[in-house]
Formats: sequence, C-alpha cells, structure tokens
Amino acid sequence: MFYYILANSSRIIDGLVRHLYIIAASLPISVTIGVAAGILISRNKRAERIVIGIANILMTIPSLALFGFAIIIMSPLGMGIGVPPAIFALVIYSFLPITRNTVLALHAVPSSTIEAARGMGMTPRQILRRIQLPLAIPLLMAGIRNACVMGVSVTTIAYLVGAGGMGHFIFAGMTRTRLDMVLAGAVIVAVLGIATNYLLVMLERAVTPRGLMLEQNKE
Amino acid sequence: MAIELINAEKTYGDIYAVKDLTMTIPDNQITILIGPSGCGKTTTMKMINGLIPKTNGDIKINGTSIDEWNPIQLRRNIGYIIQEIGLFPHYTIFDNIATVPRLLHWEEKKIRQRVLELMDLVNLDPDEFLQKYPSQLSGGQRQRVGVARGLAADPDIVLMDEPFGAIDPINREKIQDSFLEIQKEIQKTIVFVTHDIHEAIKLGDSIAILDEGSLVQFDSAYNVVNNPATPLVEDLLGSDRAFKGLALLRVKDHMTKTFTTLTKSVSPADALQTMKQHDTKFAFLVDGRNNKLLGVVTAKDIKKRRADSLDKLSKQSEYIQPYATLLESLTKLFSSGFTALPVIDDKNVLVGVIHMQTILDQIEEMSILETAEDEA
Repeated sequence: MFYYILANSSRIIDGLVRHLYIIAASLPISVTIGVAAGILISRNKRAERIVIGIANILMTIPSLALFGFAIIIMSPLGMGIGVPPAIFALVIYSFLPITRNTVLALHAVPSSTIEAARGMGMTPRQILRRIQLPLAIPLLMAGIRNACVMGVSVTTIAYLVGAGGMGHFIFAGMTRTRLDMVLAGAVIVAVLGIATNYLLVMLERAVTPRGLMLEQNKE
Repeated sequence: MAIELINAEKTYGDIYAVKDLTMTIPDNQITILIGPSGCGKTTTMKMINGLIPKTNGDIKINGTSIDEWNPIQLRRNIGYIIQEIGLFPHYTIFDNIATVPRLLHWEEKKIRQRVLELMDLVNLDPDEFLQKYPSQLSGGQRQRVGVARGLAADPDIVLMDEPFGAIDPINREKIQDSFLEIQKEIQKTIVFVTHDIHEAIKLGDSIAILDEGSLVQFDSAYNVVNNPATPLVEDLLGSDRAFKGLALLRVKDHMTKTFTTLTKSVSPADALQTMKQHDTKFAFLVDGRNNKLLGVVTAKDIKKRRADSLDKLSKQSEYIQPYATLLESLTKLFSSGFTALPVIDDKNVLVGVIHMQTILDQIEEMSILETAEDEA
C-alpha cells in the first residue's frame, strides 16, 4: 500500500485535490441553505416538523441511489455527469445535519435571554443577529462539522458519476482486485475525515464567543 | 402620571389572564405586584412594555396610550430587569450594561461614562469586572449587573420581574438593601413582580395583590399588613402577620447614631478608658480615613486577652444595612449573640447601631396596637 502511494503520488494528489474541491464547492451552498432553512423553520413548529421530516427521509436514501437521482435531476440542465451532480448530492446530504443543528441551536438559547433582549427593545432581527446566532455558534458548527466529515466519505462515491476524487482508487482498485490500491484510497479518505474533523474543531473553538467558552468550561 | 392601567384586560380564548384592571402606579415609588401563581401579576407587568399585548382597555405611559407607542421605542424607554440568567453570556459586563444605550445610538464616550457611573451605583469595581463575562461572576454580582443594565439609559420607569428570585436568602436580603439604597438615589417609578410576601413588604411603597386576574387590594404596604382586605390577603400575609409588621420598619429609622468608634492606632488601655467614659462595653474598630467597619472590640476581651494592639483583639462582627428591616435585624441579633448590631451602608461605612432593646420596644408597641384593635 505504501509502495503504491509512493509510486502514484502525483495521481493521488490530483485525486485528493479533486475530492476536496467537491466538498469545498458544496459546503458554502449547503451551509447557506441549511442555516437559512433552520432559521426560517425555527419560528414555526409545523414547518419545523415537516422540513426536518423531509430531511430525515433524504438521509435514509442510500448514498449510491442519491447520486443516481442527482444524475437524473441534473441532466436536463446539461450537468448530469461530473462535478455538478456530486455537489448536488452532497448538498442534499448535508441538509439534515446542518438544518437540524441550526434549529436545535436556536431553540437552545434560553427563552429568558431572548425575553430580556425583547424587553430592552431589540428588534427581531437584532435579537437574531446579536443574541441568537452568536449563542448558537457551538451547536451550529457541530452540525457543519458533521456534514463535512460525512461529506468526505460520501464524496468517494462521486467517482461513479464521473466527478473523480479519491473514490477512483477504491472503485478502480476493486475492479482490478488491487488490494493495495483500495487500501490506499480507503486509508487516505479515513485520514482526511479525521483531519477535517480536527480542523473544524479548531475552527469551532476560534469562532465561539469567549463568554460562552468560559461558561462551558465552568460546567 | 407615568403608568395608568384603565380597565386593562388580557384574555386567552375564554380565559382571563388579567380582568378589568384599573390602577394608577404612583410615580417615583416602588409598586409591588404580588399574588398566587397564575394571578396575572407577570402578565400585567409585561402588558406595560407591550411584551404581552393587551386585549381590551387601555394602558397609558406618560399620558400616551401604548397603542400609539412604537413598541420597540417604548421598550427602550422602560428599564427591564429579570432574573440574572437574562444577562447575555457572550457579552462582557460592559457590553451587557451598554446594551440599551447602544440601541439608542449613544456616543461611545457617553456610554463609557454612564457604565462607570452605574458600576459605582451598584457598587461593583469597574476595573475588576467590566471586561469579565457573566459566567465569571457570582449570582449576587450578576444581579447587580442586571440592575445596572436595566437602568443604563436612565429610564423613568423600570419593570422588575422577580429579579432576586434566583439568589440565596442571605445574599437576597443584602441585595434588597442595596437596591433600596439605590432607589433612594434614583427615585424611579418601579413596578416589581414577586411571589415573596417578605420581599413585597420590605421593598414596596405600595402593594397590589392580584388573584385570578383581578385586583384584590392596592394600598400602601402599611395598610396591607394592618388591614388586609380579604381572607386571601390575610392568607398571603400568613399567621405571623403582627410579627411581619417588623418587616415594615427600617433599620435606618430606628438606629442610633451615637456609638463609640476606635481606630487601630489607639492602645488597648486607652480604648478601655474611652469605653468607660462613654459607659459602653464595646466599641467598633474603624478605618480612620473613611470610617469603614473593621470589627468590634469588647471591654471583656481587652481585659482578658491583654494583647498589645486593638487589631488583634477585634472580632469580625455580624452587621446589617440601613434599609434592612427590624425583623431581619432581630434574626441577626439572635444569631450573633450581641445586644447591638453595627449598621453599615453599601460601601462598608459604619453609619449607626441598632439595639435589641429598640426592636423589643417596637414589638411591644405593635402588640398594644393589635390588642386595642381586637377590643374595638
């Protein structure tokens, strides 16, 4: 396996870059949609139930099938093959963890804190921007982290829709019964997942307001 | 007239949360809203700043119906203080206090000055606390910040919703005393919701008792204690109603200002001499520069222990604040074993002494009143 990695380092690096590119391209879209949807539905119990319900169903779709759907949906737009359907599938997949965590995070803000803000004359928008969102950051970031780590592994399947990435080594290795190739792909994806998680934990700490960190440490 | 409720009502479906409530809240005083849970006291308070919209009737703030106020503007002009948990955990103490001035777009320099003023008012050291976060403060300190925040934009009206409910009993009494001292200075129109009758009697200039959304009695604290309007009010006051009368009397009105103080530089022998001249068995050790209380020295200790400085002879003493009640003083006197308690203000300055005998005399006076009333 190590021999394979060394011998094919330039192809592996290409695969890695492509892999990360797909995730990086889908992330802003899924965060925007997920957080916006989370904020909107957090104000309405029924909308929340319906949207989270749908997101739960989307999560149960096997990832392989989801990429199949992505091809069917995207091909009328002339984007049925390659990176676009992969991004589409990833966005769908990230929707649940991000939206759900946004809703949970907003609900976790103590009602007395929000009432104090209202009572002092903050507008609903000010309450959202100055109070709710900053206090929601830890849970919100946890949702994004979840989505990213999941994205790292799901993106391997993107190879099957012609998007390339680290999936190449796993799937091509399987058809050629090359264990070292499969292992190389799998191990690198696993390490990538761990590294992503670690980096995002760091980011989470960097963006969490200091007052909240102190509060959590105290507990 | 700052706050007028005119047949104000709040209904949820067929249920009245507040029913036909008419009352004029006196300016520059503390008005307590009290009653059993679900009586509508919190609803009434929240109708005043529009957090809960009224269903019928009218509420006038400074003569203008709240229907004509922009609710956001109205709330920025009314202080709002709730339990300490209402502080914003991600804001520093400075930013918490500065919330409303910033919403009102004050200049940063003016805000800074105001925050410092308020820290002094609530007796918190700005250098120590302003850059801290709420989680780094004790419950009592957080509540002081809450009070400062509610007063930040210098509103005429302040609404307080069980603000001291989350604080342990000992610190609650202290913060109540401090709060009364602050109110003496700022003279705001305060609407104060509580379910604690002790707190109501102690803090309230007048008390409004609500039950099932209706006003049962609205009178001065004195009249409520002495002439409860209905059995419900009597129940609320409890069986030791006469004793509670002690809670109406403030230490500051009954303390004596003649007492003996000593500074550290006085020798024990001279101290003994001074006590003899003043015909007293104890004296208070104070800081000569600012009259802050350091401890208490007794003649007995000087004679018995023969130390060379008063510092070593002085003992920590129980103390009480000027706005505390005689009921609280009595409790403290019993627990301290002394016959008198030093009275110190919010800044630790010795301002008087309250004697056990004074309190006993008051009890006697009140029991006479009670009997006379019974016979009449």
